[in-house]
Amino acid sequence: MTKPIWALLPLLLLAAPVAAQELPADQAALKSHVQFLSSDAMRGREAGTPDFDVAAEYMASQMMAAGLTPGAAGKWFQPVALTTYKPSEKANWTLTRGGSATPLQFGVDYINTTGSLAPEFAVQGGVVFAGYGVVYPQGKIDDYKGLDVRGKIVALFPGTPKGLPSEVAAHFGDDDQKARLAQARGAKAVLIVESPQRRAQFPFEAVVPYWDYERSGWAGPDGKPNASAPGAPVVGYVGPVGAEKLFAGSRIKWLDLVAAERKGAKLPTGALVGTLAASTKVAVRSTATKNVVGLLEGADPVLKNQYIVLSAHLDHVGVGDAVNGDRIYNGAMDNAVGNSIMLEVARAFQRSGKRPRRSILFVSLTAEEKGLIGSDYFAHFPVVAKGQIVADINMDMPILTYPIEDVVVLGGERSSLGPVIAAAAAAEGLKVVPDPAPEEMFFVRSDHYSFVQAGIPAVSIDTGPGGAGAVAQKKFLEENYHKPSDQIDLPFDWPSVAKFARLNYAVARALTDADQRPSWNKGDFFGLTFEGYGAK
Amino acid sequence: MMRAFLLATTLLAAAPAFAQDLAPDAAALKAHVQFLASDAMRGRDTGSPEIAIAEQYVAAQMLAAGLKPGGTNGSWLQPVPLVSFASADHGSFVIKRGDVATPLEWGVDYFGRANPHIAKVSLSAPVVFAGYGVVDKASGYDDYKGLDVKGKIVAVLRDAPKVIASSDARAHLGQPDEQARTAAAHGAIGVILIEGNGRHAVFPFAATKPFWNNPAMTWSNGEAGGPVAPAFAYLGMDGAAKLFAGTKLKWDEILAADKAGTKLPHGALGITVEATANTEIKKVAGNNVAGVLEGTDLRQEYVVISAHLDHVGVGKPDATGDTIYNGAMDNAVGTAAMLEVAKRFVAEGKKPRRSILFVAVTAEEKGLVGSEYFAANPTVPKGSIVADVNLDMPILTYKFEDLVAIGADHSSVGAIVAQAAASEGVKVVPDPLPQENFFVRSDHYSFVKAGIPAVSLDLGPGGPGAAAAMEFLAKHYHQPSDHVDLIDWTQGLRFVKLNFAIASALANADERPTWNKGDFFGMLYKGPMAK
Repeated sequence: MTKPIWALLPLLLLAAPVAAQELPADQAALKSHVQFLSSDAMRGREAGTPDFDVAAEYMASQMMAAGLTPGAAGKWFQPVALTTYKPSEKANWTLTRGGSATPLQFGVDYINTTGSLAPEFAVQGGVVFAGYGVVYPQGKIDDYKGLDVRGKIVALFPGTPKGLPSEVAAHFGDDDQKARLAQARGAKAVLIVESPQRRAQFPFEAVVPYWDYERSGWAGPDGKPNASAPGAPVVGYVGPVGAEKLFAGSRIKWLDLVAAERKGAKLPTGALVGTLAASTKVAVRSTATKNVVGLLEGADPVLKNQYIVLSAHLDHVGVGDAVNGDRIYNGAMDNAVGNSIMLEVARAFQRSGKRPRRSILFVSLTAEEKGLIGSDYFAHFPVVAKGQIVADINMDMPILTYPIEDVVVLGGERSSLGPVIAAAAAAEGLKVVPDPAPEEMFFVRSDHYSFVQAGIPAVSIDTGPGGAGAVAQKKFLEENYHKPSDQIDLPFDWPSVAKFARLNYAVARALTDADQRPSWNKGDFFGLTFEGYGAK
Repeated sequence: MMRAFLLATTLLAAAPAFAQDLAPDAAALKAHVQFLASDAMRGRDTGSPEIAIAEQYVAAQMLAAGLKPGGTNGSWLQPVPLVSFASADHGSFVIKRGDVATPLEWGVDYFGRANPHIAKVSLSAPVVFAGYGVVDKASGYDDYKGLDVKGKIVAVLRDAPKVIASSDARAHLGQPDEQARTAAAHGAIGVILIEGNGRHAVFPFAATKPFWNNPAMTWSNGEAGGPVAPAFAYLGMDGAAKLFAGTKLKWDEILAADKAGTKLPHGALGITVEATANTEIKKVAGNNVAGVLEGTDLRQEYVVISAHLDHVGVGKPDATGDTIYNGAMDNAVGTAAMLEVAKRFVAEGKKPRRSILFVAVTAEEKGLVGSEYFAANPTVPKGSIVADVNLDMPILTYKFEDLVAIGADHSSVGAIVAQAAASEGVKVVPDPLPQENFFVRSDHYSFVKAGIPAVSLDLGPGGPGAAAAMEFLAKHYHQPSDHVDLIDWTQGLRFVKLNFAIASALANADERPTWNKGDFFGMLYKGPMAK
């Protein structure tokens, strides 16, 4: 039996016009932003380049066309001084024991790092080993318990003890966070000592050649580079040869540490023998860049003083090594499409004819690729009073090369944002599913995390693994992520882009118009740590 | 708007600011200008990275407006093979009378002229003076009548004869390119241009010295250019006196006849000129950007709406130290208006009968190069373009009352524009400044040269217009102060609405536009003529 001809008709109709098909207006608008921002002419929008500044002008003008007003002290741009810094020389360190001084050897025992961000920094003092340097009451961990580190140099293992929730581990595993905790306890400096586990991943000898690798940060309006813990900076990284010298004569035996780390048992901690004289020299350069801020003022006389932030980083990684002859890293998915969606969300508010009750700040962020710098700056120096920002919804590289069926909300389980997003997603026929790759620690790898650290309930909404998602995402991450091929000729599924934009609009609308402001879940680790609304 | 001659640098006045709470359509219009004329876009100079960004901007906006790609091979862009050329050295110019050689002095008597297609010009030939070197079939005027210039060098005044009544036609015929083309057509192998009274009054020979090796631009037509008679030298009045010394023609008499508007004496000079002119020639990347709105029953015919996207880039600082020539009025706002007209057609939901081709042309400031290339190599079938309406630097600083349609006198486009404008309450008035030769200084002229009825729309002198135009031209034209803040967006919206009405009228009329019967340009370029 053959199929009747009418059964073929839908197929024929589908197949024929695809090539010549024009995009519906909403999809064409979304595509136009991506096409422009990721064009070769924009040369990959690296923060600090003229190309990024052009992209910022584009966002400002498009925000204006979408009915926003300048949101940064009456201007479209929030200036950000992007700093790049690196050790300017190999430092000389000395270990003194019982009156005899032993010079330590750069590149063999240690390398000096840039934690202080001061041109010159010197420290001398006794050394205390404090395990991983983690203080996590909810997990009953306090590596400083019983230790007096006042005026001392704290030596720490990198990473975190086993068994922490991945997002908590990501938080405490960060060297800056370790330095902050050490500083809060009166320490003068921090050394990171290579652990056996770290050695297995990336041995000290492989790190040494990159000792003067350039890193990025920001300087405040006063021009001073922002150091996360200037009172107790991370001054160096100590390898196994140096560690042996450091631990020699102490009651903490290196072998015991190795065994404890392997077992996941508590590390022995305590004072080491002798004093260490350590120093660093750092060269800092500063480049001007900017966040772009558009404001949609709320209609409610009271609630308009609360602000929902929609954010998306505008920068990408610029021009680099050629792949197949192409040197321009266009960043269509990462993150031209996030900015495109943000603009069309603004336009959807304009089209609705109904102002939101709360105000919205649309923020196109700089220097995400250099370490969440634009968002960190914005969270430190918000354009409205601290405390007026009640939530951040971030869009960062939603992979949109397939018909989406579900979304992942990074951080959604921590605050009231999760249920709001789930409801909005359901209305679009989308499920919210758990992060399929928690080991990637995406929670601390995108800009919403800067808002989290300022105590603001924040999430990034990503596309999910359902349907063709898992395969398509894997393909993108392997073949296109941070490659010149992340460009407009990827198989964008524009109906899905439009659907994802509608979801973001619905989320923003729900948040702006709800009676209650978003709040952290009671007792949430990040909510408590950063003293966010509702956590206590 | 292409510069006609160099204006003295003027001091800046504070720009008027329009603190307006913008309606959505005004904000959309302003957004284009704010972006294109931002400092980050560094004045959108042809050949710069920023003009490439501007091209992408226009393409993206066309996509968002609902147009389809109208460039080459289904893309938004039409690559234009731009050629930049500049004098490589001073060259040489020697007059020979029998055995006596008289070298002319560079910078005093002559300047060498660059040639886009011939890197090394080296000539030695007898010289014939051919008046203005103009042949006008319409009026029967012919400077070459009775002259044999085959294999010879012709010397001509850099101007056109006053007996030709139309200032547009004079502007056209008096251009060096036209004079060289006419010379080649008569078999000459080279052209010497000579400063006449007209040129001397606006831009004297001596004042051109600082610009002797400024690059100029054209597009490459490969080997298909046909015979060329390079205009290899420009003589000032002192040089001219030396050229004519001892010949049967008297320089004084030529100048007097030029002034009086009577027929110039002409003929062989009995001398030989030996000259060289060396040119540095470079290829430059550039694109026109084109988007199509498909029509209905007459969709095989196209109405072109054009606006140049380029400006003059980064240059000499002004009194405030600003070096970026933003070109908000010239011509970010023309481009913006074009994009908003496109959006209005789509928003209207009613397709026009003819198709409309929106084209952002490149290298206008370099000499209408992008439009000339487009008109000569259209991305739609040749002959299918029925009209061009060009938007170039509408001075939107005041409440305009009338409109100048440059070129309106030549074709039925004029009447259509007048009628559409009237429906918007705007009168069309004659060009108040014919001496500025705007007819040959904007991109519609490129379409004219392809036989296509074309106009450029400028705002008129009515009400505060004359004073406002004067103010803009004196203080901001081709200055770093040509900023977005100058523009009155209410007027910008009126301009968009007006252009929409004009484009609609052209696209929906039963008959395609025609040249007026017997029109100089229609005849010259064989355009469709009214019976």
